[in-house]
Amino acid sequence: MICSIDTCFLIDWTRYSRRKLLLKVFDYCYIVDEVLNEIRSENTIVFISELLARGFLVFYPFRREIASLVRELVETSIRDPRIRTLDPPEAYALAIGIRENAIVLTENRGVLNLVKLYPKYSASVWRSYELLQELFKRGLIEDIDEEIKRYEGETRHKFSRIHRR
Amino acid sequence: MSRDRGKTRRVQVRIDEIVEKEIRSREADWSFINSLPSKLRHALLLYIETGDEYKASRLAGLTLDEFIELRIKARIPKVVVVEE
Repeated sequence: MICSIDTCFLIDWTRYSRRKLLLKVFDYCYIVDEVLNEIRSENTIVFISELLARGFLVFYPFRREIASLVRELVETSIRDPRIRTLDPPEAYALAIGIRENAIVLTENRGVLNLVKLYPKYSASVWRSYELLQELFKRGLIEDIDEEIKRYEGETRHKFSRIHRR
Repeated sequence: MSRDRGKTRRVQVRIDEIVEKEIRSREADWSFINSLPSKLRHALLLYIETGDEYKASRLAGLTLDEFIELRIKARIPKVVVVEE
């Protein structure tokens, strides 16, 4: 299984003490090189450099081939007031997900809304919550409630539960 | 039928956004936010309003990881709505 990852997701995930579990779920992970422009903190640089050294993070090599899809996604988000305008990092992450049938790791509301409202841009989008659930399903974490609490604390996330009929 | 489903999705999307914004605003450390220079303060206000870290970081003149650090100092959570 492969994934593409949004910059914010990667930065947040780096703060999680069990961040290396990411490598147990995916074979490799596509990023675009702009990600590196957004990183200054020592911990994040160390983690990313380790993932690059292991060949887990891969710079997406076919950017030119998805340029028109990226443009289409961004334009759709600009035109539709229900969707928060996509910026390049998340637009690339989503386009790679669509093109490569990769899981898109992002918590960007624009991407989530776009995928929900436009079935033609179908992609599997996972937030950290879904990734933690997957780790639990695979037996890589023992207590999902404890782990969710740990993740919330370490990354200052808040998983807000909504009951829908 | 599918028009109804589309409408339901649009309503859900809007409800999620309202819930997220309300939690970000409620949990924020307002005295810290109000003590910041104008640019950083407005960037955090933009984040509370939209949840968009990328745009907020551009407004603040920070990289994304610097902005995330600032968000955490301001005790603003990243809210993820989860369906039960």
